[in-house]
Amino acid sequence: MTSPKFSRWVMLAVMAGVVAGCSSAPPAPEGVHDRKNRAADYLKFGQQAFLEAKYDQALSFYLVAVDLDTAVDDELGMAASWNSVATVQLAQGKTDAARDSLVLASTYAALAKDPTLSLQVAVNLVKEDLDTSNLAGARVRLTALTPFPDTLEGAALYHLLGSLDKAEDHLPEAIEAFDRAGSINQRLGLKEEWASNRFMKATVLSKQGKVDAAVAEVQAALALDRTMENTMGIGQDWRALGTLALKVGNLEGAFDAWVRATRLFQAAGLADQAKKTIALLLPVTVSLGRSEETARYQALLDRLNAAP
Amino acid sequence: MKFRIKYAQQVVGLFLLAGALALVVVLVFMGANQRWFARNYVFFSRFSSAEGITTGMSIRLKGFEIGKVTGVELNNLNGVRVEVAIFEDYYHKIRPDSVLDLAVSPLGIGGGSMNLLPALNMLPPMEERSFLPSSESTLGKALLAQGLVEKPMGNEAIAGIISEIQPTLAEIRATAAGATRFLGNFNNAVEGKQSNEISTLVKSLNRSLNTVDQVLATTSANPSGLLSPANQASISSMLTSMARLASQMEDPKGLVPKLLDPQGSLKTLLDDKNQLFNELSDLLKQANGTLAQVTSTVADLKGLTNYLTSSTPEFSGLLQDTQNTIKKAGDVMEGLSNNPLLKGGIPEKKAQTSTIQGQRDESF
Repeated sequence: MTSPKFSRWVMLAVMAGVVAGCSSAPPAPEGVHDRKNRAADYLKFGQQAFLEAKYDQALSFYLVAVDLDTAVDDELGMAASWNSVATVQLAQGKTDAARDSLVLASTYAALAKDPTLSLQVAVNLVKEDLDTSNLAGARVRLTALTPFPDTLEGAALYHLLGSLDKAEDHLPEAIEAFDRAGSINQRLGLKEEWASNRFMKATVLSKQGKVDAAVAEVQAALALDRTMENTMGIGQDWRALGTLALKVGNLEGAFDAWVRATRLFQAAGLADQAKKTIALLLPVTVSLGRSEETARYQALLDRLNAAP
Repeated sequence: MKFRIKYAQQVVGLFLLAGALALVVVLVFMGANQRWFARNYVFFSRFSSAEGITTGMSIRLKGFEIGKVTGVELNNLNGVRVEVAIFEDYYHKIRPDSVLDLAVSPLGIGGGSMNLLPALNMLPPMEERSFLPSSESTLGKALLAQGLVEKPMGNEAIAGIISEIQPTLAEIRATAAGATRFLGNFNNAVEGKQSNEISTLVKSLNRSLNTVDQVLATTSANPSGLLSPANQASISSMLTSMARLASQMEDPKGLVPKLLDPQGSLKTLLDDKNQLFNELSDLLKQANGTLAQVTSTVADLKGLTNYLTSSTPEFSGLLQDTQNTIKKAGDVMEGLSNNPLLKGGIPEKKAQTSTIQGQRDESF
């Protein structure tokens, strides 16, 4: 048992510490981070808009971040901003513009000497290679980056490796890569990325003729995408479920899945995706003999095509 | 050690006594103010109607409240018995032959008042519970007619107003006579029956008009004299142009035949079963609609502008409030950031991370 005198001294010391701590101002910062912090905020806004598939809005946020980072010559920020711009451009299918953005992003990432950011830029570079069917170029880049770290960037690289293996018809290797990416993302709690891993694994399983397993993977991906409110992902999941249903001759299932995907894309204002889905849906309505549905979706497609 | 107050009971008792005393003092002051303890002298009077008489009504003398009506009741003879209480201070004013007068506003606006018309004698006051005649009673009228009581102020005021009206009317009459005289003089001047400034002016004007007549007669006799060589040249040029236009109009292949030709421009334009007319009509309707829309938009803009103008102080206030709030929030945040327990939790520089999207191709 401690003596009352000792307790009194301890109490006094603690109180003095608290008073001194509360009254002393923190040391002056080394520099100003106002605009860099605002750029970080805009990157977050852009990520949110990107998740909601509002690509134009996301791009405008990212470009504001680019301007803010450029105005203070923040190489790290510029690399992150340009890389984000490239991500949107790739999602919009603007591969040429994305390539230009990636050149800037990789330049600034090299100047900043930040390995994480360099990996983030590398992910988009590989993706751009895959989008332009430059499989050899993608393989070279990925090989140069091995071994991949057990981080977000590493998972993204495993995912791209799986896509490359699938494109080169190395299906078991692709599944292995997607599984590795999935395990990292699951551990990091990145559900949206994990959903992408499972979605891509489903495509490989489907190619292997394992349609039931593929459907299970897509449904798992759908659950994850719903959890994250990933609009684009949910729509893609429904479209994939329709494709798989059609693959086993389930026209009604395909019809229902594609109708849901169409409604979702319409509600989200994703006209291109809606048109793509309706193009799949129309032959099914004909096969099912639903002339009213055919006329309705044809009219909807015409309206979407006529829209500027 | 238990804390105790010495003489606690005595102190509490003292406070209670002081409170009770204060209450009594307050009650006494209130009673004195409300005349609870004052002596009143009761009299009664009689009126033909209770119209305008209410219990609690003030009895006034020269504007001073000297008592109150304490009771109004209908007696056996269908007369109205009115009981009044006169304050002790004014009891000596209630001399014999005094009269109670119910004064009613001559314009019928506002309530009436009960006035005491004091007797002009210097006799001692009447005994309590005596009868005070009302001004409408035979006795009251007789006392007023004999000039034994002081006349009411209200009648004097009205008489004063009437006396003021008389000279005003005289002035109006004099002004009207002056106006009549002026109009007579003016009439004579215009007719030339009287020599003054106006008649002189009229004569001068007459002379000027005669001169203008003479000038016009001269110019009509010799019109060529008016035209200068330059004017003549201009007129000649105009006449030449008109002659050329006339010859063109007479030309069988000229402008007019072309326009009037069955296959000409006018024919083509006009012989279209009202198509051109209908199009023009539609255009005008559209233009009219557009103008209506523009008018409506301008009205909306005006309304918006008015609203913004009227709301500008509110916006300014709101902005000021917002600025104050932000400043306070900034102060709070500064305080929080100074807290040593939170210092590690607030990074000075936020990390900038780029967006990475999981790639999906839908090749199944």
